[in-house]
Amino acid sequence: MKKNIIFKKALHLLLAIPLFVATTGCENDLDNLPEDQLGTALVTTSEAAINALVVGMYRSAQEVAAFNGNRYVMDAVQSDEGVFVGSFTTIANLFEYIQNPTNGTLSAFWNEAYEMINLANFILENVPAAAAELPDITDDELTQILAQARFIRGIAYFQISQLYAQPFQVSGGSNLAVIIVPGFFGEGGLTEDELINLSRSTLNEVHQLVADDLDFAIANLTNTTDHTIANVDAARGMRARLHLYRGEWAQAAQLANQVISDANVTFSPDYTFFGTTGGESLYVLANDAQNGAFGGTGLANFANGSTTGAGRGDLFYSDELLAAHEAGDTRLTDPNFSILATDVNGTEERFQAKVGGSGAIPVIVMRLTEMYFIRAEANLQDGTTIGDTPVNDINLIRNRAGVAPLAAVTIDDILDERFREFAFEGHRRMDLLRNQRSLRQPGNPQFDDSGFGQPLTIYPINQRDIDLSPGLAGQQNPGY
Amino acid sequence: MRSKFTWMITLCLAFVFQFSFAQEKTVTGNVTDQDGLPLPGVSIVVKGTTKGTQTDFDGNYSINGVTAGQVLVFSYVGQRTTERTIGTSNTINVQMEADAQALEEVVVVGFGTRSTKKLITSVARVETEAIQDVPATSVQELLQGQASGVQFVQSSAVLGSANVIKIRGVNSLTGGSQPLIVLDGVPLSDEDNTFNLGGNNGLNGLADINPQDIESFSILKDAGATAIYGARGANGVILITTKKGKNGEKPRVTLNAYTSVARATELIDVFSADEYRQYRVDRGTFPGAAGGVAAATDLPQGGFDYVDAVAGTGVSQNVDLSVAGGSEKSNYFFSLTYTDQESPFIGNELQRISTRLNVSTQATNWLKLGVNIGISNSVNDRVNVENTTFAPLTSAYLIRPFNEPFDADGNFINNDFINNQIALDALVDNEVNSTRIIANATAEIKFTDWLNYKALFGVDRATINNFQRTRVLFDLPSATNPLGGSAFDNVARDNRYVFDQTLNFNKTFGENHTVGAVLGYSFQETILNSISAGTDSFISDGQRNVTSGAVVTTGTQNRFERNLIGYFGSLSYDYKSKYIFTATARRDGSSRFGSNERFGNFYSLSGGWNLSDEEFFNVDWISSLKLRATFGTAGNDRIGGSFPGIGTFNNVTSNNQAGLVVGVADNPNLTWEERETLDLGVDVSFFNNRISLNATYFDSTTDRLLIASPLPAVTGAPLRSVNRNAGELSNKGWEFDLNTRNIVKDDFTWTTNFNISFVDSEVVNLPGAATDPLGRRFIAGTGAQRAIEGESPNSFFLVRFNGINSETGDAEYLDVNGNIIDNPNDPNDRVIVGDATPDFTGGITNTIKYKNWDLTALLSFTYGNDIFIDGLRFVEAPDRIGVFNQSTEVLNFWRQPGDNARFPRPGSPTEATLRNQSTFQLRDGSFLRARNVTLGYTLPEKFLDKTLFSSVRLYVTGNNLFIIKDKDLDNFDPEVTDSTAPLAQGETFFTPPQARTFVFGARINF
Repeated sequence: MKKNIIFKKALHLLLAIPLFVATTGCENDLDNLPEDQLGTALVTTSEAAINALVVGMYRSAQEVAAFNGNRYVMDAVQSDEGVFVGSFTTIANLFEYIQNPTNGTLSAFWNEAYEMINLANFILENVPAAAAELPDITDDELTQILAQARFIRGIAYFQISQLYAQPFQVSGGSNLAVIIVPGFFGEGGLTEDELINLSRSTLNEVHQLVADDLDFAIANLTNTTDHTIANVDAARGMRARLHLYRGEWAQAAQLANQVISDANVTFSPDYTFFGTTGGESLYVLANDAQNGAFGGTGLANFANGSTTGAGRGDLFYSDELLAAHEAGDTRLTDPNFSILATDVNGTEERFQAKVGGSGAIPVIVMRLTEMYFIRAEANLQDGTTIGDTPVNDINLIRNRAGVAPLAAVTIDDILDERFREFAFEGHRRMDLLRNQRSLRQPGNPQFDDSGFGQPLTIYPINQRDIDLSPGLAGQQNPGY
Repeated sequence: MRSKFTWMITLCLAFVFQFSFAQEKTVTGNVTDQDGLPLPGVSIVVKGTTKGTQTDFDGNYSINGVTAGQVLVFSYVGQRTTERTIGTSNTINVQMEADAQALEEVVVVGFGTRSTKKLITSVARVETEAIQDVPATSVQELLQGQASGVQFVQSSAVLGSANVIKIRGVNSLTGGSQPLIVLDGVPLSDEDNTFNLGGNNGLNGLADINPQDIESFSILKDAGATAIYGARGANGVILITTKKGKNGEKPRVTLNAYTSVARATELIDVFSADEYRQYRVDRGTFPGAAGGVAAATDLPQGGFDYVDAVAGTGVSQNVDLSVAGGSEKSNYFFSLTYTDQESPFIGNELQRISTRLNVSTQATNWLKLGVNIGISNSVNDRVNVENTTFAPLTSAYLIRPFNEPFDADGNFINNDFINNQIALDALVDNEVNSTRIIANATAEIKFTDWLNYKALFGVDRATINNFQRTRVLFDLPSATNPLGGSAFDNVARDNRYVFDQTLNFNKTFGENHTVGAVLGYSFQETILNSISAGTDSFISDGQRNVTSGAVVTTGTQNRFERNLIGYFGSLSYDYKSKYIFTATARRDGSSRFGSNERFGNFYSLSGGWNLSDEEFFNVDWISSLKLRATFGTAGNDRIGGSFPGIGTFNNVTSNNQAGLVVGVADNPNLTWEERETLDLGVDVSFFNNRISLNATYFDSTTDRLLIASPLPAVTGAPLRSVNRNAGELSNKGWEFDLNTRNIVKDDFTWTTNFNISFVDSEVVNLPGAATDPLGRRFIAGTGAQRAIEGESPNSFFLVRFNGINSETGDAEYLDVNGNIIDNPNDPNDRVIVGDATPDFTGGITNTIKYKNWDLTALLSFTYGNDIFIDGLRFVEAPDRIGVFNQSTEVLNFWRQPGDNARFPRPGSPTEATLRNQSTFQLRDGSFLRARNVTLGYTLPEKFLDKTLFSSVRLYVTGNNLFIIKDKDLDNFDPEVTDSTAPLAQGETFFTPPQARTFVFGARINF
């Protein structure tokens, strides 16, 4: 009897153990993954995901300070193109040449370029191995993906090397430019410690990287008619621009000439192509209502009139820019090009009409007209007539604008024509600097500060990055 | 009801194994208590077997199959367990004795209960008596002023609005700092599943719980008490126990019905239309004064009193019916509550119907089963609050009063950029309809007297439907919305289940050595699923739903899963209840934690000494004296979202193609915040327990605080920051609970409960955070508030307003060095000027019972904190008179040299500086509020003789009868918070002030 009870007690106790243990769960239950955001490990496991990464690069290029509206606005604020009357301190400071290394508007270009570069590097390092496992991706398709990544990476470096470094003409490219990142950040890539120890490379080193990337793109991209993505015309155009900026006239003229003769687009007869993805664009951001959510075209809102342009009315044509026009120039009358509207104070001014104030309007990064300019300028500088004579090229552009042809052109004529034609398209600053001119004209209060080679003609490296990165110690731009 | 119940028990009994023995007989008898009254529900077990029975309603029992020599063990809650050996007689009658020790109050603690004598951790209790007359909308507000260490901040009078509970101060900076709330063993989800309508939060995540079902709260404060909740314990734990029936209790039907009238108080006095015009005329006499006019006729005529129209009186009804009772082996509690509430603010109503059934049955003498189910449905007709032109009170203050709500034909107009609230109430729907089930099923298997197994399966399932419909007057036609109007519907399903198991050991060795142990395992899964659809462009305002809109604007669905696994145990030992030790440990894994830091270990050690039990302790007037100390750790798993440690790519589109961009960088080391607490306390009572005092000192340090550390741009990480567990925060302070029984007579008693808590919070260090010009690292919570190293985590950081220069009439400020300047806009002139954390908080409750009358008064208080009223930058910014109406305070402006005015000279260039944040908008937030005063009268029994009623109590309650506060806070409620975020406390735009409410009610027992 007693034994029986003891036995039963023991049985009960034994029962407790399996009851308890059998119902305890599995620690794998903690390995939850997001159900919609793909993790790093998954983004290279399918063709669709890899293609989406490429689309993601184009989307990154649409960020406001990547290739969207900000760049063109800031160029106008710093050069003699525009007058800024708005209340935004970070922009007003650039207009008045009192910018400092904590100016967040200025650092945005650096930040967003490295987002593009990081994504391009991620693709360049991960996709080749992934594609080897994915039979759907042919060798040719892989090459196309890599060529697109190098196009985006190349133009991203090219852009920030113009903003944060003195131009080639200052010291032959031996000056510090930007940081070259040798890979991507994150699992399987570079660590934060590696990244904070990187230093700035020289302008020549950065230009070499840009040249290599663009050359790879030119050699491998198919000649697509879709100019909202990387294409061989745009790659050649960018490469021609790099040659021009470095004074490599013959190559500049030859590549520009090649684009003019081979491109999928032709010289547009009028200005209706602005705000569209068609016409003479070589590379255009396909902004629309659904795909502009990164903040629309950003600062372009400032450069639209506050009444008709649906903008803030903060930034408009300068007197110098207006005065540079000749009578009858349709670029002052064609509403596709510029319009009269009221500024923030209610005064009527001339505003650009190329970039809309909303995020729904495509923004041109490069267009065919620039190739005629490059060919003309390079030919003029080199005394050649590759493709055509400089005067013919310039008169082609003048003819479209409804002004009389010139009999002969000088470098000043070309720069003035670019001033009018590319108003608020982000060319003016580099056109002046690479020709060793002041960004502002004599009599302007900032004339001295804006002189060629002056410290404030280029942007500071963000103080935040200097503080975080031992590799940048002592590498702030002079004057900041 | 009865038969159904019996049927349920039968069903349970069907699972019982029957054992039989030889040479049996039947023993019968009667069990009574110390007063000779029959005791139903007494458990009778044959010692050493699983065989047993219970007494019936008359205290009788009968047990068959027993043999002489066996021992019957009689046990009943509150009675000393009695043993009788079966002899030759077939009758054994037993008179049981009250067990002094068992009668001691029992406190609910994590995974068990504890007698107050053996309680050596910091646990505050709030019982039914303290809360039953408080007409609360939410469960949390029942806690204000009730216990030390618990600070409750109501955000506004808007129904269902989110609130803040801080247990021993703010314990996190950028994570969540709300305590874990556990209802009958089910940890509740307090996810914010409703829209933010102004402010920084949706509704209170616990708004669905019926406050009237609550029996008691246990608030676990120190690590000794919270360590068993591991990674969720650091912010404190609130255990809610719902009402239960008792075995053997006759059905007790209670009907509690009340009507309340709530009146808006503390409203800003803004200009009427005539005053508005006159003020602008007055300004016109000062050169350069913005908004000045030559004559009142230069302004639009007409007028409307919007404040009066949006803030008035709300009438609410509440009916609560409950039945509690039990049979020999089972008990039940059933309730049905309907509440229909109106806030004093236009368009704000709440209906809630809820029901609860709690059942427990001793199926066999080794198996106890229970089910607790609460179901509620709430329909909240919401209004906007704080900084939005859709918020009734904000708009009523700011809209220029010449704007009339109707045109000449009586149609709504909305032609100011501040919305016409009268029209808004009629034309914009903002409804939340939520249904929530919180339920558990428990099984308790007794293996031996000293070992049992408990399993709990619990669910918390909520379906929350947010619906918004904006008619065309408030969503005008545009290019993308050709016909105007919009509708938006969101259904969030927040489903959690939890499965807990414990093995419980409790045995006394010899006479004196008691050992208790718990070994447990817990699994919790939470799945959040949210579906939204929205459209624009409606043909008619009469069409309600998303389907009628022509332009699709939203079609999304998201789902997140979060899981938690915990292994825990505790071991306690006491010697004669004199020396008490407990050790607790928990190992918690959470899917939220990064893969390198997925499991955390937490522990606590506690010790207590009942000094008054010592032979040598010989002080007559001290009835009991206990010293206690605990030390341990607990974690905070509220580190953001569901997968804060996983690197992800975000979906984007470009040129209508699907794309991926880098979203969040991998962060496999991201994990819980950890709080380490030392507690030293003394529990003492004097004069035969007439005075009892609990005093506790605590010193806690939270480390591994989540800090967003900056990353350099070359990482390409879009946020350019990564969360790291790096910071450290200290909270220390004193807590006192004093209970006195001032008068104890047969027909007259007066008791006082007083509690007060002092918390000193300091940010110890913030590695990786930004640095201010003085070299101190900080995290900015809001524009006005930051956590700064060496300071309070809720330091107000503002430029100092220095008053109006009596000679010039200009506003003056101080720069960082204390020099007078005229512009508060330079961020470098900001200094620490205040603290949103109070020096002390507390409450005092006096209860007086005289014959059939009872009077309870609860006052709560907060001292030493500042509040920031951002809306003053609009309503006390006189140069904005052309755009916003102003408070009549602005009439106190400078007119001539020598004036000591509050506002600058009209036309002074410094008038515009009042639009900027400075100490001009900072106020002392200290207050003493008469939170609840209730007077009750219980009808004499003789009146009820031949009625159905066994007792009737009539009562009248006044809520928020008065408030004592700083004189600069006239027309403002000092209790504000527009955010539950720990670094955004004590701030508001305009808080709809808490109403003054009168309640008339009756509590009737049948």
